[in-house]
Amino acid sequence: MTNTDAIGGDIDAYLVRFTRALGGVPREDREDFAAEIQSHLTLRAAVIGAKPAIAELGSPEHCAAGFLDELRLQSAIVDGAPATSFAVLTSIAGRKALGAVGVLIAACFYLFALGFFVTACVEVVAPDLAGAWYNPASGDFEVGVMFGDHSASRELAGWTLAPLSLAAAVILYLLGAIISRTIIRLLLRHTRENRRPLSP
Amino acid sequence: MDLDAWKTQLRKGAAELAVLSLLAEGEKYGIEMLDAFRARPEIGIADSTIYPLLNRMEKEGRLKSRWAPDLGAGPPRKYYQLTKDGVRALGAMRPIWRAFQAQLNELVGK
Repeated sequence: MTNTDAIGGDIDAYLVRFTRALGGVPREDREDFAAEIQSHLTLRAAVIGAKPAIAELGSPEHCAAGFLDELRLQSAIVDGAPATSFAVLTSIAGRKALGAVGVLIAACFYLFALGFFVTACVEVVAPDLAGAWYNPASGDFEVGVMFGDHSASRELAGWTLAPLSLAAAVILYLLGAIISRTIIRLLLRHTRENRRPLSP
Repeated sequence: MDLDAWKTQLRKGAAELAVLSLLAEGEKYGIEMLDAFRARPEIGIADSTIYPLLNRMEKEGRLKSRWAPDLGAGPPRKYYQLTKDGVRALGAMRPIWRAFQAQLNELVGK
């Protein structure tokens, strides 16, 4: 095996891991990034050797993470769809605390939105099961879909529960989406501000 | 005092201005830019950070790129250059940077 083969082998192995770490990125972008990293490593290896060139770039996963963070956050902002924003937050939650907080908060809003949506639907098809009840004896207040005896409670909303629940569902859904996008913007700013500098 | 953290804070936002300024001299590929930044290590742009940065600036419309074959036996190189938006951004950022630098120098130089 010649020295050139060894250099090529190291770079090929690096690129395999780099490309694998870019899983989920559109093929065109992935190929473009890999081609640029290959060009960089080949040119740099010719000057300082393959291993130092690879060491300068860091691990393939670290190198890919820089691209991934930029791409995910940008696509979430450009797309703007709540599902995309939430999916991006979920994918980042394991690595960034702010992403995890975002997922928790957005998930709460979406779950409450779903609850109110179900309540609105049930109020239309089975009004006895859905309601906003107040029990004067116990002081309990319940809203949503409930099975059981509510004879001791007073129904507060009546037929208005359906439109009110639907409105609450829409508002909570929009708040969840706004919170997701706000946290993604914060993450994007944080990522840009904390690019790893050269060692002094 | 954590000087590394302070230096990171100083470098915030400067990376983009540094890339725009470097490309104002003419189109360059990644390693050419990195060579210029290696000669100025305090700017703090490393091998692993420049390519995502260039990619973002290209997607945001401040840079454009082209692949060019190497005339020898080397690999093709991706050359970057400023777009009109990039030239405008640099034109807007320069006076802000100069005013910042001049006023801080007045203070620090005392």
